[in-house]
Amino acid sequence: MSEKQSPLILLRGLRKEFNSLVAVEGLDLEIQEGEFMCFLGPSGCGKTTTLRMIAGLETPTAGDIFLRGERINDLPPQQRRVGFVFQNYALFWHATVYDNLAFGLKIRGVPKEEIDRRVRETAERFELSPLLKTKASRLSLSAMQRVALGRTLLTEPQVFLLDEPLNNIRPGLREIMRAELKRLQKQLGRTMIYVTHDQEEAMTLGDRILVMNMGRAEQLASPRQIYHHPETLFVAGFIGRPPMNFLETRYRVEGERAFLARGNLRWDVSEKKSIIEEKVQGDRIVLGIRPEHILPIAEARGKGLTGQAVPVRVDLVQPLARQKIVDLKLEDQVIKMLVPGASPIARGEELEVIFDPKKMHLFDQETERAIV
Amino acid sequence: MASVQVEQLRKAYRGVEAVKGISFMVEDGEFFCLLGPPGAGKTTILRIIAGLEKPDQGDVYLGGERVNEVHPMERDVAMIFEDPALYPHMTAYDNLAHPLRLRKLPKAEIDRKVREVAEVLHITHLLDRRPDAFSGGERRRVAIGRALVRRPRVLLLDQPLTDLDAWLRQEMTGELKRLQREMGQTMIYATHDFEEAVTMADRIMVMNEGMVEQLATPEEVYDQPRSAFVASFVGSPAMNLIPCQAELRDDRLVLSCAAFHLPLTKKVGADLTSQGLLLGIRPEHVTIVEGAGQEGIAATVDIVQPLGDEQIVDLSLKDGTIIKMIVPLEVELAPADKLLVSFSQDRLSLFDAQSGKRIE
Repeated sequence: MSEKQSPLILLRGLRKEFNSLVAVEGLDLEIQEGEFMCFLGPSGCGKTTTLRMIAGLETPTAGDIFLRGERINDLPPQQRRVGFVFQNYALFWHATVYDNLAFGLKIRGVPKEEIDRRVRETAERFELSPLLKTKASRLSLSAMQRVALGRTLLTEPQVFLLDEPLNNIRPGLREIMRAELKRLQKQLGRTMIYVTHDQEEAMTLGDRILVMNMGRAEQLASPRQIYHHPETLFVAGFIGRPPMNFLETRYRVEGERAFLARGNLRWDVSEKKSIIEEKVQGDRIVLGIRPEHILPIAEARGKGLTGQAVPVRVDLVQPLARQKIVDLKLEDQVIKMLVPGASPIARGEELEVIFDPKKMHLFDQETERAIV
Repeated sequence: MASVQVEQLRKAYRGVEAVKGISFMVEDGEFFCLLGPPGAGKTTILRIIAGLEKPDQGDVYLGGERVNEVHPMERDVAMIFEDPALYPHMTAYDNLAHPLRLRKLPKAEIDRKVREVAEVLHITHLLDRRPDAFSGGERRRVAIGRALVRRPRVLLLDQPLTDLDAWLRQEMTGELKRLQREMGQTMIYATHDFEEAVTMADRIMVMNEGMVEQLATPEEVYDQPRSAFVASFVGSPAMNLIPCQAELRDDRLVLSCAAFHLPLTKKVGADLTSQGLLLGIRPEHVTIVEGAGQEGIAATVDIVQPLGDEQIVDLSLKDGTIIKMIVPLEVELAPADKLLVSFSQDRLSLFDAQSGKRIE
């Protein structure tokens, strides 16, 4: 072992095959004590399989799992001291909150008085004290979540594993429960690994996010880093709502200046000339721009932004609470722009927009990797 | 296409009233949303319009004609459920063509209509395939196509996107809206997801416990919620609702609670000093007060949640009340930071704490 303290969890070359299907393909990852880690990706990306391997519910085909430096591949689930919180919370619906909380301690033969003390302590901490005699089936979703977490906490896990626990909860309530979970995690100071397909959850909850796709890690970074500097086309398209717009362009050089060209449109990328020429083989570059970084020309000029004026026609305006999503027809393609709710933009309108030059993302169309 | 009118509708199941005397009118070609939590009565209303349930009281009109006694098959109404069933042994083409074949339309016309709808829904490439190979989004598209292909007078949708992934749901809301515009189809769409409602609807009817809380455009519902229920149900994150009292100080109305005193700049008609109030302020209308010597409400940053180019910040006020604020991502904030905030006065909502009704 190295001198520095080993991470709470270390995954090395983790691989899982189901029959001939590769679910997880050689994953390396370190998770630190007290960290809120999110595994994010579409269904089938391998995030849940990874979580289940950490829990011991699946056996890896290859690779190792370490908990505090100790290899736990062969340890049965109940000896790993991981707490698994399932999507539907898996409470005992006919039992009271008290009995749900006490269950894990009872089966371990903890003396009655100690069970009582610890259940009440936990109930207090999770604001469940008034509900101790309530049946689980009668609880609000938020209370169910707290019971599930409290019950898991009482088993004294070294790490909480959560599999999409906020799925199917209506917006509005979801934000409240999300904030509660994050607050709780910080208060408890416990490590949590949280699996989700919802980028909004991962962005708001995670200290770091592992974005997965087809069994592989696409990017591991903080939410801000992932939003501002997506490393692949996949991550760029998966993070952000509505997703980033992509335009296929050709790289063109005229003297000292370099451009991305698309029909009559040209975006100056002279500042990135050397890096583009170093990194990109062909001339095909995908220009990525987030909907919130496209501005009507008047507004852009007001902010001192310059660049190619892109002529578009407004195809659809969708209000989105405090903002509006505007679908813009650019030749045969539709791109999305996000504007404040008060914007007067209307369907059928012709206008010019600017892509904020500092917020443009460039990707090699061949490798689908960001050019940085 | 047709308008839909519902008059004084009532329906109880085993003595429990699911719909408590509701009336509304959906215009021909309108996208109308029923929004509310489970148990609000949304599905019951759809089923009554479709003719799948008989109302205990009240009338249903389609295109001006009373249809209470008309058999569901003859109402020319299509309904799409939460988990739409497709014929598993038929290709997507046959699934779409089925309702037209039942009506004995000429083959060429069926073919034209099926391809037209498939085109609009981007499912042309699926036509030769069977549903068991479809993803959730593809199944939804085919089901919607099958309902649309016969151009029903009214299309009823009961939470058709609920269990789809967030990004797919958003893509489909855009498509549905575009489709509805292009075809001029009258649609009534039930959902518990306010974002779906706000994104697609011409008008939204917010429901709770079998009653109407508000019927208005998405903008009105968001900016001028008629009740604390609407305020807390519409918005992500929801509107902050802070219990307070009003007192008169030097002829000015001051809202007081444990954490702050807020002099009101706007005029309020009623005398509010004798009742409990809820002060409503949306997270995006909470702003940080900058510069020395400024007044504001003292707050401590509790947690910070980045979201796109913004961040949701939970603030803890003096008395422990938590409120949410949305600020640009550039603003650097960390837990335990102390700051002063203010509420945009022209964006304040006031509600009666007892009845939950909005106070102007």
